Amino acid sequence: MNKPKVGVFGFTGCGGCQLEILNLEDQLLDLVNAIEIVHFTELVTEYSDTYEIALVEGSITTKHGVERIKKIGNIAKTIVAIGACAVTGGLNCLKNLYGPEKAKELVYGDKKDWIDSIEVKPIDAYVKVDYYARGCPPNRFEIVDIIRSLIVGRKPEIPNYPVCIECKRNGNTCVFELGITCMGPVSRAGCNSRCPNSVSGCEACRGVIDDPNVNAHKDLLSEYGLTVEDIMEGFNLYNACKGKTIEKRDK
Amino acid sequence: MLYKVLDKGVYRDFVKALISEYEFIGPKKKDKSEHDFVLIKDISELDTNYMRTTIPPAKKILFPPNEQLVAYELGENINVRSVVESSKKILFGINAWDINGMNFLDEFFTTDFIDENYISKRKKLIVIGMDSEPTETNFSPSIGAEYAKDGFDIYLTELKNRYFVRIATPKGNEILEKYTKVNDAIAEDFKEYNKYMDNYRMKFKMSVDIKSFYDDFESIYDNGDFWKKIAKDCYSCGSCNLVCPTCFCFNVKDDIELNLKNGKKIREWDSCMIPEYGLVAGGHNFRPDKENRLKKRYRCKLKTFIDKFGKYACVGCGRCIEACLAKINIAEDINLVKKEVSI
Amino acid sequence: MGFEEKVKKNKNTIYVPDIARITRIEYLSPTEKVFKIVFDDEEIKNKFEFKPGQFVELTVFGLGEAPFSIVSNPTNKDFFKLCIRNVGNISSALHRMVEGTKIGIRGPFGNGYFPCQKMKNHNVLLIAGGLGIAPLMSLIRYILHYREDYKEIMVVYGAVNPGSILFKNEIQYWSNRGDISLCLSVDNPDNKWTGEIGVCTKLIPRVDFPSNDTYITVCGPPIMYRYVIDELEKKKFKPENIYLSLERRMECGVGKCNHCHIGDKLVCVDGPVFNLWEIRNLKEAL
Repeated sequence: MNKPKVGVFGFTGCGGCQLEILNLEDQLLDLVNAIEIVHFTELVTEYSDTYEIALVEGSITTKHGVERIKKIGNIAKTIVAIGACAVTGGLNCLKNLYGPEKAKELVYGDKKDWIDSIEVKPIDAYVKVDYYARGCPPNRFEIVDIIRSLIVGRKPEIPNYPVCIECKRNGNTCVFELGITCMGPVSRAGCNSRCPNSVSGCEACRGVIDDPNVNAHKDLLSEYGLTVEDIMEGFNLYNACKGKTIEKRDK
Repeated sequence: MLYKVLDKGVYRDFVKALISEYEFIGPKKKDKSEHDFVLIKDISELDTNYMRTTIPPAKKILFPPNEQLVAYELGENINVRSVVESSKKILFGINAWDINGMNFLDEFFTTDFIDENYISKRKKLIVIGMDSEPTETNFSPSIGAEYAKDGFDIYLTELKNRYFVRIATPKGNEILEKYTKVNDAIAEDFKEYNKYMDNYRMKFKMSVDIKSFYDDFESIYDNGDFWKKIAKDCYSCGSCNLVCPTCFCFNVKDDIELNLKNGKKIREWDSCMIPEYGLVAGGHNFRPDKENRLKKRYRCKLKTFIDKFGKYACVGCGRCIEACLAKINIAEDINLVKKEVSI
Repeated sequence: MGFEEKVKKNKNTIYVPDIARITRIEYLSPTEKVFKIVFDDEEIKNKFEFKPGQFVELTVFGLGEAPFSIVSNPTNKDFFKLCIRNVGNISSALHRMVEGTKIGIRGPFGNGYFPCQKMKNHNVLLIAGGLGIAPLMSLIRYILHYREDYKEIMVVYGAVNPGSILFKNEIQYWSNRGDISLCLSVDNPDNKWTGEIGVCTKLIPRVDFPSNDTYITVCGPPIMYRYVIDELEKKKFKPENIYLSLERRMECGVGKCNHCHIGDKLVCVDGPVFNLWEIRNLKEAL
């Protein structure tokens, strides 16, 4: 079997998703054996513009970024968005709530015109994304699973069930029981219920499931003393760019 | 069945001996609200005075959330073999309804085809039961599951200065003879035991007319509005299934290492409440609506296995009620069905 | 040798597949291919027996497992065939495979199958919609093998368009034989189509088999069953003589994973072929 050529690229984000790949430890050597990494700033000094699979981290926030992601889109046969910023726009989308001009002014003051900053969008706003490794940070084993699936020729299985399933498989006490609020019941699993495992509420970093019961969850959160604003903040933290879909479903 | 008594003075030494001799699984305090059945290394970790456990102990051991079934190596020749885990364990402190839940799984996994992965672990499991405090949502007396009549090796019931010991298997008797000293139960012990059980049964606050559901289900089945109302707040999150002592649905997945040589089949708990459950290749979904899935779950719990085994697939432990953030309550719904049908 | 005996003999668990090879791949349509499969182990090959309507679980190593019903004649002992539509992860991997590839097989499964013994000395009406022809192929081939044991045979087969009619060569052979009548219908005809147009249900009123001497088998997409049963009941065919092959998500094949359950029935164990009498009032079945 031919080793696919893989490029790893970063846009606006913290770089943590790329580090997750390096954090694979046990599996990293196997991974490097199974694929040929031709571009990965965090790992190799060489770089190449010939690759079949692009793993892309970060959201698109600059005009320059738009050009780069379009170029990647032209070269790669398969694009995998890795991490919340690439998949949903992530935390960066909170900027959009202010509007790009206002946000620029707040941060850079009178130097705002020096800055190339546009409305934040996930990468699928500009290129066709084949697979999504969701989460902040993404689950590194899921990234491996997507790569492996591409090698053996199957569709990777990305869960469309809520975090509760994994949380219960892990035998956790429900954090609501402990007085903590959680987005788990409406959020997409695949993280192995990472946050509830360490007794903190899920923040929906992998986005919401296809058919979330938003009304039930709003009722529940308000029982726990959250205001409408708090609740929307919870939904928006990682999903502001895609927040509109949540509002629409609500009606 | 043998009936004996165990003096409280020798109880600790008996448990200590078991902990040092066996892989000993027992309840340990996890946080302010729950206990968890884990490997106990020292008696100080053991806390049999528990009320809540998220995952039923027997299911956790015998039918774990993830379990490898098959291993294979690919190459010129494909080498496939089964993977069966079976080590000797003691499950200590499991309560009556969870034993009854295990009894259900025992029957299920040996009907039609024998599931070696379950039953080989079951055969090596020594079960020592003990009563635990019921939660407010527990309705096991309505099902008759607050008392275990079999499925255990030894059942200890705490009386004033001694334990009333029911021994259901020769294995249980052997263990008691080897590690402690018990005396035959006399009339007075039985009297105190019966009094204890009467009081114990009084502790259960919730009760349901479970038989009515079986009779009423067919007539309420097509009442779409009724089921829609009940399922309105359902998250389709599957919590009710995964915490259930009798839920057994699972997915089988193939997994292959990056060397593309070593692969395995694993099973993991599934839930009938999530939309993908009824989905077949090609995209048709046999249960696309949450009210259909909830109805299916109730039918499976309260009707299907009466027809098949003469047993409910529910022991009334109330875990699903406590786990449901949407406050869907099987006990209340059983009573609601009865009310709706009698109008 | 049944599946259970085989498991016991090899000291395996019910989840371990036997190794087999794809020895031939026939192209049927852009979306369907027929795979001829032979077990590696001589003894397993010699003792593998199935009945029309039964299915196997096929493992593509590294990908997973899926159920497929057997389409070949049960009297062929050296091999069996599966007709597979390219719709999912497993089936699309199979469609990319070449002859000689090794796969895993568990089965045959299903205690409910088409009762070809009972059907002897009666008329048989076979109704298929789309890919539903596949499970019936095994039965048709068996009946034609022992043709003199049966009375009149009729196949009613509906497809979406002329291009999606499966087993065209074999259908041609049937019409040459003259001892099996055939009603073909398509929803969307092309300009060359001269046959019937519309859903196959519409052809049922024309069937003139006597209601007390006819066995009927039905297989098709889920939506088809209600309509077919209505038409059959109008013709006064007896429910106890009607056999339906149901599709559900049969993941384990051995009645454990529960995905295919309908009330107290499990499609993988109690089916996949059910007598209409048994399930006519079983909620969710039809």
